[in-house]
Amino acid sequence: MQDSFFFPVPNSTFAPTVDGLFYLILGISAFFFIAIMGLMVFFMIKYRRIDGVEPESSPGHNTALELTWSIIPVLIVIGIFGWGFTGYVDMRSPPDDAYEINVTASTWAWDFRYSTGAPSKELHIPVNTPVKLIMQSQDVLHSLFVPAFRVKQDVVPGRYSGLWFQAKEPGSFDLFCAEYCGKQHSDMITKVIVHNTDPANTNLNDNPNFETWLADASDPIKDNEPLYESGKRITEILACTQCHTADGSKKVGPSFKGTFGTQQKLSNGKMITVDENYIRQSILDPTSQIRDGFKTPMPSFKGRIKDEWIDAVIAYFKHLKKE
Amino acid sequence: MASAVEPHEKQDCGHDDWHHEPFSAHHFDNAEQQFDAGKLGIWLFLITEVLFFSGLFCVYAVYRVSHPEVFEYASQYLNKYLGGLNTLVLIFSSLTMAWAVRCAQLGQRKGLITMLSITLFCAALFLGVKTFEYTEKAHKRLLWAGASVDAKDIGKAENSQVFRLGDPNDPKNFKDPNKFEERMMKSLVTIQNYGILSLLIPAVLIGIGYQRNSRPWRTTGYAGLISIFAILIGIFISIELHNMQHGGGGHGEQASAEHDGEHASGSHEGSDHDSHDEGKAHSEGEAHAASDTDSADHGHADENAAPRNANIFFSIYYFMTGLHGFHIIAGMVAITWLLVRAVESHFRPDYFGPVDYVGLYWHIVDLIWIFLFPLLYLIGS
Amino acid sequence: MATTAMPAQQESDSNSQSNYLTCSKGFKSWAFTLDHKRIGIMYLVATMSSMFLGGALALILRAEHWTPGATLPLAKIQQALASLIPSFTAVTTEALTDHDVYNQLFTLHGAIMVFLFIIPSIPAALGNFVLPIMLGAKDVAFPRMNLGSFYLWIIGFLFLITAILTTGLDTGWTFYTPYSTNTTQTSVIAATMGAFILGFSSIFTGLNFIVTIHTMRPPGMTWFRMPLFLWSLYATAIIQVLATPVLGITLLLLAAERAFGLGIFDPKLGGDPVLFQHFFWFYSHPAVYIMILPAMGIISELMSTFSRKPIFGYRFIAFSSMAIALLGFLVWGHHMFTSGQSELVTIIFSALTFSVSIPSAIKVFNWLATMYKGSISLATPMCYALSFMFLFTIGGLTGLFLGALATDIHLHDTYFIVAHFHYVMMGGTLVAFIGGLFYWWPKMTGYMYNEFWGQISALIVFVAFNLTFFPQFVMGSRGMPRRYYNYLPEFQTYHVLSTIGAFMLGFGLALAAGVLITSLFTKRKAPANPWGSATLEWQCSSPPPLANFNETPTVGDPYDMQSVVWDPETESFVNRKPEQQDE
Repeated sequence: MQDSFFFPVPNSTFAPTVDGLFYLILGISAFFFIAIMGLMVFFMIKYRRIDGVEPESSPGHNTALELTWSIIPVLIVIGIFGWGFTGYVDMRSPPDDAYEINVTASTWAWDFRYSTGAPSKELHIPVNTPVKLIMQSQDVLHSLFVPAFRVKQDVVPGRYSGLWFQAKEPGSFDLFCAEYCGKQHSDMITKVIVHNTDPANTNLNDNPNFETWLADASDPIKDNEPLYESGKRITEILACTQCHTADGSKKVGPSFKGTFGTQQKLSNGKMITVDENYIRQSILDPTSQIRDGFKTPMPSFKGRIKDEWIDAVIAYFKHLKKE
Repeated sequence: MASAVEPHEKQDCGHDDWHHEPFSAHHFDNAEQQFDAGKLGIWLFLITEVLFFSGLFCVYAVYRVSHPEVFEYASQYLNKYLGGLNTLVLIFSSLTMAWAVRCAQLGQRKGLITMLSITLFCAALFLGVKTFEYTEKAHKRLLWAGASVDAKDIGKAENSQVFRLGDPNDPKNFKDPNKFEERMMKSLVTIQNYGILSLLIPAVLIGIGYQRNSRPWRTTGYAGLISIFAILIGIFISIELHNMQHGGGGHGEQASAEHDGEHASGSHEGSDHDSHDEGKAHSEGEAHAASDTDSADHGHADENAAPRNANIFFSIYYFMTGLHGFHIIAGMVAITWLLVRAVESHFRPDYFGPVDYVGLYWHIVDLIWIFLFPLLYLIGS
Repeated sequence: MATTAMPAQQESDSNSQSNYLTCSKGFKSWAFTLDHKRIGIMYLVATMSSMFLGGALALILRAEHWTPGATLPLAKIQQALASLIPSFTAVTTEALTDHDVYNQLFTLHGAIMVFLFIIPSIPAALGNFVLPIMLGAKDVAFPRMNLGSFYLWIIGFLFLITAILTTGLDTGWTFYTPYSTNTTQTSVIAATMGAFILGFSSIFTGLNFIVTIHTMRPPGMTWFRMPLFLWSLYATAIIQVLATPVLGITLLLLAAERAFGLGIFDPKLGGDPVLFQHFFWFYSHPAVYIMILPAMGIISELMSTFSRKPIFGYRFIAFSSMAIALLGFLVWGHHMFTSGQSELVTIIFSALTFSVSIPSAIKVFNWLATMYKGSISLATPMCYALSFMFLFTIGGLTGLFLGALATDIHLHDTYFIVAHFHYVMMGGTLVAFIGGLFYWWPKMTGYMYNEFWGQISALIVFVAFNLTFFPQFVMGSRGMPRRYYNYLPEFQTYHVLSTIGAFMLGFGLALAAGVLITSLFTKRKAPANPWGSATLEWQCSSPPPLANFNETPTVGDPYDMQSVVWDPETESFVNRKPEQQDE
């Protein structure tokens, strides 16, 4: 699979239809465009004005000709409509056995929730399986757009909207919000991770199969490992790592490393100590105490993260301090 | 605003040339062309008016289809008799307006002035009745959806406060149905007092008119006098009608429906406060229906309770009748302008365009009400 | 037959006789004028100023996209500007971030360009000036209403400016609920009231034009002798009168929703945000044809005049304008294919959308056929007209991608859409507007501009336009969503190209404006008919006298180019002598 001049990598069952139709229209358009422009330039040169020479007379209209160039476009657009129509009907008819994922859009983040209760900030889906998203919005209009899948659907507050697709290859793809939703509309982007379904791939660090990922995301705290390992996993599942690093460098937000136990200045000028309570507060109500120098507010995780998970994250912070 | 200004814009074109050829603008070839242009212009303007309202009728249709129970329930709180009275008043005013046009065509100055005055009186009477209706509903907390909701409950930004009449959670606003009449009357008396006080304005206009010996000032003053007087009469008639329904024992269908609503909240008040808290919120009101969005099943369980989002009906009611009322006011301004010109003897059998145009406008305003009345007042069982 | 004053006579007349510009002087003579020509000039100045304001905002937007993240310190610039206006700083309590400022910039760019510039530009500025003269009338039917509509424009403009100067506006020009009613903290009500008032301004202009065309035609001016520009203005006026009231009521409902919480569009109160979109697009799609139809009318005039050929298929073009006006009302739903409206509705709208493409195609073919066997002059207006042909054809053809359902799902709300409507609105309407302005400029001002620099400006605008917007097609189909402050680094190449083009385009437009303005100072007198057009506005002197025609003009075939011949003495086209014409 390769991207082309006009398209990103095609990675869904819809992509061939959409791309095919696109190239068909492109061909027809190019033909007409070149014909019209060619004639125009030809006329411009051939019939350029020469002083004193009056134009030859030619008929002011020609009904047969005019009807021809009215009817041919009609036939062409009927054909285009037909193709677009069948492609659209496919997009709106999810198979009954589609794998369902709940999506909640809010300003300016996507939340995905699986039947096992697993939360995720990125959309993880199995390859070659029809997936149906059941989407709702908490505030304003949003729109879920995955260019690689050629799908898009607005998420309207007060009702559920549906969207389905079937990915063809494993990999990581962009997911955008396409309907303007306010200040950080352009930051409301995340990834679609397409997992393979090969039962042999159970290594979490190297593209595991979907079942393994789901089990891991549903219950990230493992009995037989240190708590900080679970904490690390949780920061990955909740996509904290999109904005925070574990190596001490600044990204959108402060790094996990080298902060625990230190004194930090807040944006309102107060000094605080980064302790367990501060971390908990920052996860549940991030805007209440923003550190100086960091503008972009973090979305709240209240109600989306269990208490034990916060404990694990705190353990992870402490572990990073020791390292 | 636009509609108020527009007829002036349209027909005033000729003033520069009064002395030569009365009221014919220089850029027209002849009076006939001018009349045709004006007529086509006003018809186009009326089309835009109809389309303007058609948007609202679409809103009405969409919500009527999606929430039929809301309309069925909420419409019983509108007073059919007052609505019917207003319908008759407007139909009668259409008759007098048509008569006025005829008078203008025949060159009957006195007839024209009389008919225009009656039309103006009817228009103001309509507004008087409407004033009573709005006041009554405001006191019953039968308001638009957002009026009973805190801005932050519907995710509004803090500085975009939703406009409210009083605190929706303040119990004294509607918990005491017995005092409701008293409070409403108090408001109405205040309104009437202000109305009487505002009679000063036309009085001053008339005074200026006599002092300067200017007929237009005087006519405007008299038109104001008629309008304010008619509004006061409208309020008075409405109060009488209201009292007949409620005090006189001859309960109409409407009256009993209203009493049901009031008694429902009253009886709850007397009974167990704590256990019926949720139910009470619903039965006392329609006003609360929208705020309790997550307890919809409670609402359906109770027969007397308002259906969910019942206040959408009142949102539509206020918006449509309010906009219509605004058009009535615009029409009154136009009729006053006609009166001034009629007194000045501007209209003749060969020049009566403005009367004709305002007449057409007035008919369309009436026509819109004739649709509004059954759609808002006469639905429901 | 056609016996207006003899050219020599005309020349001397224009010195002694007053024209509409010189007949009275002073501020009042303009502010209270009822003359359609002066009102047209005032509209021209007003809309052009708005265009340069909106254009400046666009350049800031493009500059911001030079790099994927923050490029310009937008918030700091905004604060610096704000500190210049004391009242402004008083209202702006909260510090805005770069994101906020960006969102306000694209919203204001859209709102200013749509409501203040494109909708009134051709009908109210050029149309006002040209329509009565082309028709052979002394004025529009309701001159007072005409002036009133201009002042409504001014009031609407003031409302929008108030919105900008207080807390700005960041809803996008589409005002989608519930963001506009509940979330945003900017002055939505002031802005919507501004748009509401501008709507009435537009309605009054349209109403005036319809009545004028119906009742003010002089003897001989039959419906099928009307120049095609009048047909297109007539079709436009019908849309203005029929569609704009719906926008009016929608904006009133929106303002009431925000101020009082009506609950009609607010899902939290039981309303439906998609209903707002239906209402909004019921106006705003026909509004697209308010923007493009008059442009098509101008092109019909230019193609015929500069090819010295009667327009090919007059009736097809006239009827296609009417067809576009009517079909335009039936296709609004194609803005909402992904909004969650029902599938059946979506499919019907898609089918209807294709039907509206046919009349536009017919026009393009007819313009092309007009050039056939012509005598084509590449004067500045024609350069813009040919540029229009190129750009509008691309704009129209890319519409096919968006009308087809399967491709629209992918392309909707991406830069593909942005490129598409700029090709139509800017490459179409703006380019035709400039072409028309160059065409009628000698008539409006009485002065000729520098032909060479005019042609250069057309060339720069053409090249820069394509450089600006063609990359946007590609990044759109590659998945770049619109209204994004930050973007992924993979799109940077396209954005950089587009930004370079935008600044060139800004330069080209400034050059065009410069060429026109310079002509006012070089004062090279324009002849009555420099282009050899047979329509009536070229029969009166340049600039026209106050009453347009000193005697009632004789109406002939508007595209009978043989009726005018070049007269080297006056350097103007003049009417062929009666005996020559009669042969």
